[in-house]
Amino acid sequence: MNDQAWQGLIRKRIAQHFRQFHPEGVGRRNFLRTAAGAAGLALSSGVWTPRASAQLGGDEPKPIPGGATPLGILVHHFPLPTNAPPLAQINDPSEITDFNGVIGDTQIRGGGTGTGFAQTLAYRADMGFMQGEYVGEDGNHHYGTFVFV
Amino acid sequence: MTQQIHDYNAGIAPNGLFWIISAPQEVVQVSPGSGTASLRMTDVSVIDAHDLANALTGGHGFTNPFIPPIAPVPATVSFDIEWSGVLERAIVVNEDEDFTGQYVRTGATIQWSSNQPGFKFVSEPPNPARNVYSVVGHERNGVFFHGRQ
Repeated sequence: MNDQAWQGLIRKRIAQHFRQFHPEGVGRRNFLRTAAGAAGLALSSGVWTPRASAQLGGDEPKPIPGGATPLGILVHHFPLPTNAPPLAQINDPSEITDFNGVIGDTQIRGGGTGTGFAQTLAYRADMGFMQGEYVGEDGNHHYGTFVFV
Repeated sequence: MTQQIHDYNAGIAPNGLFWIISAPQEVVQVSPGSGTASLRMTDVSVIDAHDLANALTGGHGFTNPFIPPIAPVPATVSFDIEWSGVLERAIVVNEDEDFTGQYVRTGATIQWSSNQPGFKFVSEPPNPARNVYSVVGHERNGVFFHGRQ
């Protein structure tokens, strides 16, 4: 698949996802409310890719029903807090529902070096894993390891 | 994320799964009771969506405030994340989000890099001071929370 076709497929699947899961669209007020952030790079956040779909077959897990709304768009993920509240106040750190297993979740900010930049580049990494039993889209029980990148 | 120049992500699946890839079991080593875990992967295929707005809109940018559309490009990332150092332990029961678990808030470090045509990034060496919030635990959600499975 050439690059143009690949990009077209991405847009088509994004539009399909928005029609199905977020018919309310993206609101300007929500964007203005949530647009502030750090500078630099981010390791995580998302857009559908052919690879993601190819890796997840009929046994694919289901997303948690809730999530955060960056830019006014519901995503099925709760970023960890930035102000160190007690654990009792965290949202579900798993991204998959009907899940029984171990999780690891982290939010780290730091710096590094990038091609063409003399100064340090800042990054934010929101990453984690889920490993264990889950009920997939097919209604069956499965065991798997999932990494959110 | 203002002034963002790269946004690496693994994608949103058509059912809404966010940023998730299926991975071999051995990339995760975890001992949730002791609050330790590691996640290591090399040369994971992702896309660079440039910034969060383009990641969430499939490269369409945003209208107000204006964020120009930027097409995603293929990239790879490698990462080594370590969770250790118990900061807090808690049993969390969240009826609103249908999950419960035994969690440990921990310290964490990451070393990661990215690679794509014309740009490479290498993070600083692992630095515990960069941790914002990290969690390891064992949880049940969805049907496992309600005891239906």
